Amino acid sequence: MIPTFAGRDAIGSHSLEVRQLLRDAGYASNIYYLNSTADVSGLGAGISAMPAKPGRDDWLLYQLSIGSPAAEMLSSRSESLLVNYHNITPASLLEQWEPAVAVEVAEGRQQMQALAARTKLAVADSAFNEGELQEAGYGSTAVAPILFDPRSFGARADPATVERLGEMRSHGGADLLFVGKISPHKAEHDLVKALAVYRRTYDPRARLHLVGSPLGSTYPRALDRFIARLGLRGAVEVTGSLTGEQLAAYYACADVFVCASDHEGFCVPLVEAMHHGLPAVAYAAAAVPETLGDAGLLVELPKDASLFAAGVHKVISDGALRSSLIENCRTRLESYSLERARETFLDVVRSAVGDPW
Amino acid sequence: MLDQLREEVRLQRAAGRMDVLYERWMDHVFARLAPGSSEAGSFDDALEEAEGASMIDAEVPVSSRLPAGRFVKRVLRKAISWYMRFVVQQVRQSTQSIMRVLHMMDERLGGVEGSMVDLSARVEAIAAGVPRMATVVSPPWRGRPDLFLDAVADAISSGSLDAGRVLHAECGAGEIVSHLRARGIDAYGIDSSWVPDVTGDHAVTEEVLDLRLGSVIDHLSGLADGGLGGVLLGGCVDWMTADEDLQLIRLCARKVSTGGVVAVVGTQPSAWWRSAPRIVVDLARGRPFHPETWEELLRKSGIGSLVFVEAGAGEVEAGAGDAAAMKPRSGLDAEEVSAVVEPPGGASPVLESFLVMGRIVV
Repeated sequence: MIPTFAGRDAIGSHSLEVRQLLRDAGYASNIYYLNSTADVSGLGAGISAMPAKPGRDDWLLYQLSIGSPAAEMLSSRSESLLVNYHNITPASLLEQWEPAVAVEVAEGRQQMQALAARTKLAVADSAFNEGELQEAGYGSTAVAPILFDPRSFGARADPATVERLGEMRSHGGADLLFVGKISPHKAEHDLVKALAVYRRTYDPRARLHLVGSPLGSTYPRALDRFIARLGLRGAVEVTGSLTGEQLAAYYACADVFVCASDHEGFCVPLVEAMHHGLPAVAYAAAAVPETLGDAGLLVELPKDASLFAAGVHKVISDGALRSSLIENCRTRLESYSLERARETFLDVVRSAVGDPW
Repeated sequence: MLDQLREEVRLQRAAGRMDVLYERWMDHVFARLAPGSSEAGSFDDALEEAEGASMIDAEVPVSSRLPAGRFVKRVLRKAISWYMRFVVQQVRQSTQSIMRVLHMMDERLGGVEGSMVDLSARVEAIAAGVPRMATVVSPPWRGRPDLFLDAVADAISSGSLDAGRVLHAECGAGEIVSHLRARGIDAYGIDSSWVPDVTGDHAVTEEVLDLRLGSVIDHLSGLADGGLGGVLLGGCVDWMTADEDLQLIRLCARKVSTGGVVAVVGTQPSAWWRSAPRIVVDLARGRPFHPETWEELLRKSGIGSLVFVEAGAGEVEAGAGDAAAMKPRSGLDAEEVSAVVEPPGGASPVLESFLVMGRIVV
């Protein structure tokens, strides 16, 4: 069961992969959703289509990532419950900017706690998330990675975008890239600060590309004004949502992936950067250190724009370090292979559900 | 790796390329853009929203999924339209009055905020300036009188040693005074700030050498005209204002007896510019004079027989002298000036110091 089943969404893709994995392993598996996007609605069914009288051996795997009426409906279901936790952004990071979303995530946290008692096993996609589950009162927990195929990142770079970015690069200056929602908890404004310091200290022509759709309008508007106030309109590009091909072009034309998020439950774009052999510089917040490992440079908290800028400079200018990080990207990426992730996930599910025969 | 980054940041900050104040300023700018802050635009947005909401439509929509529903609604709307219009008219008047008041408050608030911004900017500018000015009033560089010790001592000795005492300003720990006294000159010193005595007991040194704490201008002002045999102006000329320098020269001309020596040791402006941070140069009260300016000031104050000597940039090795760097430019009484410079102590940087010296003429 998934509250919102969307095609271009990490949890939506994960749900499809899980269903395929379970079917391949001999389990009968279906996806039920409360809402869905048109591109995937036919791949599952609405919650109302769930069997009224489930079998004794039926299990329900709930994808928990936000507050939803779907969680309330679980109380009326008799299946044994598995929770797959993908993290819920703390309301405190959103309430000032998007109060309505903050209410939803706060509700999600309450629902998370309420589900703890009847959950047989809670599966987290990072050790960081597992820690949150345990804090919320879950007795039986395990870590299994989110299922995605890193090879799916290998879209062909859009030639027009490559040409446009290449034209920018021909004038000199490094390109810094972040991919993620334009949202307060992703803290893009801290990336803008780091860029400002980096330009003043090392590279006055450096650029920052922020790729991702906005969450609400308040934070994106403030970010836009902040960029203008710092005189960085020509140096910071906010692209909005892109196609896979356009995104591949941005990865291909960047010098470093940067991440200043205050909260990440996993951070798939870090793995995407690894796939493109792009070293990262990131603040060591939430699950970022766990996901990034040695495939990038971690800058300790509290945040320090100068330290971050120095890190970016180091990764860009130190050839030996850069080569070693790119090599680490390759080895780290192997640990995220779909085959390995499927194996781990299946082992975890089997430990609770048992074999299908 | 993090240690390397921290060291890199430390070096960049020391070199002024990374500025903590700039980072704080960015934090401040972003904080002001957050919801609820003064610049978030939330008041303007809210006002605009309220303006839109104040327009009330008396024409109730009549659409309906049932064919008969549309007809019924239309009849009802027509039947109560006289009542609705009456009520809506009053509500509109009321909301428009409220909006007018809100706009007036907005304008007044805008004015107050504008003056606050101006006031804040002034306060910030003053606050930011205070610690920097504290640096400026006490610059770490000075002209080097020790480079011209023998030249000055020879000039004084060639005159009458009974003409009066010789004052050294600024005397520091008294090295120059000590040297002059060793040459049989009755020298004493004054300094505007206490200088640690590296040789030992400061109190004893002060007493033996007659070193005094105070302003050279105040001190000269209190002396009888013609009461001094000579004056050596050292580092003080590097931090005084132009007005104070002029006052100092006028006082020297009055207080030094006829035939007495007035010597000025300063730093070449070019060297001063190079060694000082730009902000300090711009804000400094002691923008240094060129030697030509001192010559002119001394000449106009009735001090003649002027001699100009300069020491070049570079390192002076102890005991080696810097004769090559000594370039007597003026032919006047050049024979009075020893070409040999033997700075006491070890190697030290020379900030292209110069000496302009002359005698009080009648």
